[in-house]
Amino acid sequence: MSRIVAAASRTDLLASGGTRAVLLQLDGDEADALASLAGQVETLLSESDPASPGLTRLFPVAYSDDTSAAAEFARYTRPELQKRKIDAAVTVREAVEAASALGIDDPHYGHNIEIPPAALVAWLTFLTDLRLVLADSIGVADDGSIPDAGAGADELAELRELQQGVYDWAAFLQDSLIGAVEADLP
Amino acid sequence: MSKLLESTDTVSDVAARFATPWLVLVWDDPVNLMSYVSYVFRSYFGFSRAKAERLMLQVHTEGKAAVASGNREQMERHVEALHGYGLQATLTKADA
Repeated sequence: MSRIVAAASRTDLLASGGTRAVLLQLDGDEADALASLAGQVETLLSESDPASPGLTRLFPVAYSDDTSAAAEFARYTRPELQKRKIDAAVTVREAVEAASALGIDDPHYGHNIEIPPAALVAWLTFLTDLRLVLADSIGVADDGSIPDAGAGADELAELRELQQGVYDWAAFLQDSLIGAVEADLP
Repeated sequence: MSKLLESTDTVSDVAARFATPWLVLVWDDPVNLMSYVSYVFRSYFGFSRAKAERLMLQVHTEGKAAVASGNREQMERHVEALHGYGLQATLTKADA
């Protein structure tokens, strides 16, 4: 994940009248970062065994007290689960790339990405998966606390800091998306 | 096709399985946002806002909450769906 770009600030969400699609507005750096992150998650999920240790949060164990039932459940469900997670990352990457290809169409807000209701779960799923991947890397503790990235110029410390920035930014995006559609829920 | 004929042998097993409901447990995890967990409960299960938030808070404060009960196959489908949303969900027998 070393190609993560620290993404900054401005995202606005507007429920566009009637259709309840969500409009996500990103500046150029944010759009580049999001497309890159979605591509990285897509690659990671495509090339990894769901059983590998770094992915336990993405592919949880279904039976905590029955290893053979857990293994059987994993065998039957993981291929589809893996495919859905990859599809979600692809949905996000393609939407952001399509918006970027149009160029900056608003001088204040940059790229406008319209998220139709049918794509919303894919977006929320991707943002979750991104955070679940990063959580392992930055060492999020059981109580949610994050260890200090460490001092200064050290490359690993810088990477941790970037990853933590992305982790928080993804939370902000996800929370904003939920806030934009909450009125439609039961 | 012999399985069809043998199926009467397992009626009591099936009855026993249905007699003991299974539970879907959602476990607290430090990554997922409270708003997201509540969103999943509302959009996937169709829970009211009040019920979704009560269960979400139970997950958060008690470490886990049972969010559905029923036969094993149905509960496995719920767990599969919740894993799709990125929640830490497991199945357990109701009397376990």
